[in-house]
Amino acid sequence: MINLYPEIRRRAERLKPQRCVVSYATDEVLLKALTIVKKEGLITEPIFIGPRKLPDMHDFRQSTSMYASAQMAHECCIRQEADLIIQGHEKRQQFIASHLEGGFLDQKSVYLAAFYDRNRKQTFFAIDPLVAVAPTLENRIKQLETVTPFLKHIFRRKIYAAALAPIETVNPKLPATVTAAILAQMSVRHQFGKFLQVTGPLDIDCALSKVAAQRKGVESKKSGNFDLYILPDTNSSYFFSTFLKYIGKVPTIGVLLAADRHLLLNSAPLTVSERVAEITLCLVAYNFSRK
Amino acid sequence: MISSLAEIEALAKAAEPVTTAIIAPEDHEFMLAVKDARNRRLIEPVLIGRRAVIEKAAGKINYDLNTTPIIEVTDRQKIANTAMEMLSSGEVEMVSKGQISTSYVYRAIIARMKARQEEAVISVQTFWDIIGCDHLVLLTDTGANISPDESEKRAILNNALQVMPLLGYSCPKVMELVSDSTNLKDKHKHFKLAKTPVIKDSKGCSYQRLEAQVLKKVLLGEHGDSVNLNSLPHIMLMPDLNTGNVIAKLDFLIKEIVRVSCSYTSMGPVLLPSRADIAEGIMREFIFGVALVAQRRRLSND
Repeated sequence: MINLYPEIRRRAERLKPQRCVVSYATDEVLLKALTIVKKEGLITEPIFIGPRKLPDMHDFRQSTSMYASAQMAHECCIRQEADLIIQGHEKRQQFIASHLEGGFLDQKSVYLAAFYDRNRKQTFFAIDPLVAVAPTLENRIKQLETVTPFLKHIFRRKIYAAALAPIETVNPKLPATVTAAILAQMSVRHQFGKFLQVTGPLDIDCALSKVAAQRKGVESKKSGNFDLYILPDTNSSYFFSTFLKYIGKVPTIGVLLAADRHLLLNSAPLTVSERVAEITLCLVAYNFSRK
Repeated sequence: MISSLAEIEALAKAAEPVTTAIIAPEDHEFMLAVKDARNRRLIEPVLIGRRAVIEKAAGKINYDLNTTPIIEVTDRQKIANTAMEMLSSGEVEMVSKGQISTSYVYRAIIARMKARQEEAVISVQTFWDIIGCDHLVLLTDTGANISPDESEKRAILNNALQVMPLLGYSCPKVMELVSDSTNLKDKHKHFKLAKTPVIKDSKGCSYQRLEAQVLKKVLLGEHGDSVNLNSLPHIMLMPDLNTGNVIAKLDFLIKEIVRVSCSYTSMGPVLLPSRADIAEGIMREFIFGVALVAQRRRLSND
């Protein structure tokens, strides 16, 4: 199996195999990863949709374009031939957009990025580098309603989240500070249930370092040890993930959580191990949502 | 071209001490950095603020203030204004923020820039020294402008183009960060420079624009299989404050990055250490500022 993301790996134990369809499958890393996941009994023989049949593609269906591939994958799910859609080599925007047009994603949809901190040997998560470009408070509340039960399932304990903003005090000119403060207060009142505690607004230095938080006079027992980072918007979240992945070499995967179905995006370039972890994360999410 | 903070430090060590106005040094950690910088003959500090609080902070670290001038000012805005007036008049060559809200410093800078009839868009430049990258990377604006419009972004870029030649980057590569998600759904208020003409500063220093707007394409190159940090642009324009603030401080997570920040003005550098910084980080900023002043001196002598 994989050495990364132990929390995700534990939740994948004893899962029943799922059926998946790969849209525009040309990616060799993905094919190798699927072979491993299949051997582990987490999936059945996948349906491959793409421009040409490659070795080991036993159930292959040809499509001429990326758009047609996405549509065919969508139809596989409607016909209940597959439970999960996996993005192959097509462009991410086209892949998601085709599902947006199909009404697949609603306000509760959220892209959950998962990082593996090699120093702490621990997984942490961040939202949302993809879906809500300029999230409103309502977006954030709905996203947390999606994410919280899933993360509780992963960690099997209370989840500690940092709502990030450029400063620690509430300033109406900085909407992220207002949103963060409201989310924090909502969590105090258990509006997300008893298993999510949001601290915010927090500048990222206070969220990542206990010393920094103390220097700034911010009381935060979980500084340096949060499970979830709520980034202010898509730009900040996207570049947070990108810099961690490419400059920090932090293993980075993710899953698009939607209300009724989850899309497995291709966060390439990934190693085979990371791709296995990403598929596993999606399978865990799918099984959890079915429960 | 100066490619690392080690080279910056060598420049600073070789320089004559830089007279530095210190705004409200009211914390012992900050005072420790001031003391250390003075002992190493990097700076000649002029302390501005509440004398009793300054003396208390100095006392905690056994800093004898007998030979360090203190200008007593109690009002927070006036403390910042005094420092900027000294910088503008040439009485000091550098300013550093202490335990005071950055907004006071920004207001003081803007007031001086307006008095000097200069473009009053201030911006914060954060430099990264990244292991595995053969040059310094400047991220801007990481602290001042909440959601800069197109003209503000040009001004932010111009500010960056003022400081880069001091470090030997005469034709820096610039990249404006835009996430690929911005095309996905609603068109958020997001101003791109991509369609504006190439910007040149008053000295005719132009920059190469990188066509790719998505950072990973630049990092991964044509084949897309391995990361080449040398491909990072010299200047990365941040889309807004939310992003600039988060990204600039990723050194807390990424150990391969060492960070220094300042707001470079035509009057000289204004150092803006975070209240979260400890003495080591503040010292690094002093060293960086001293090196910038040394380069300014050298260029003006040339």
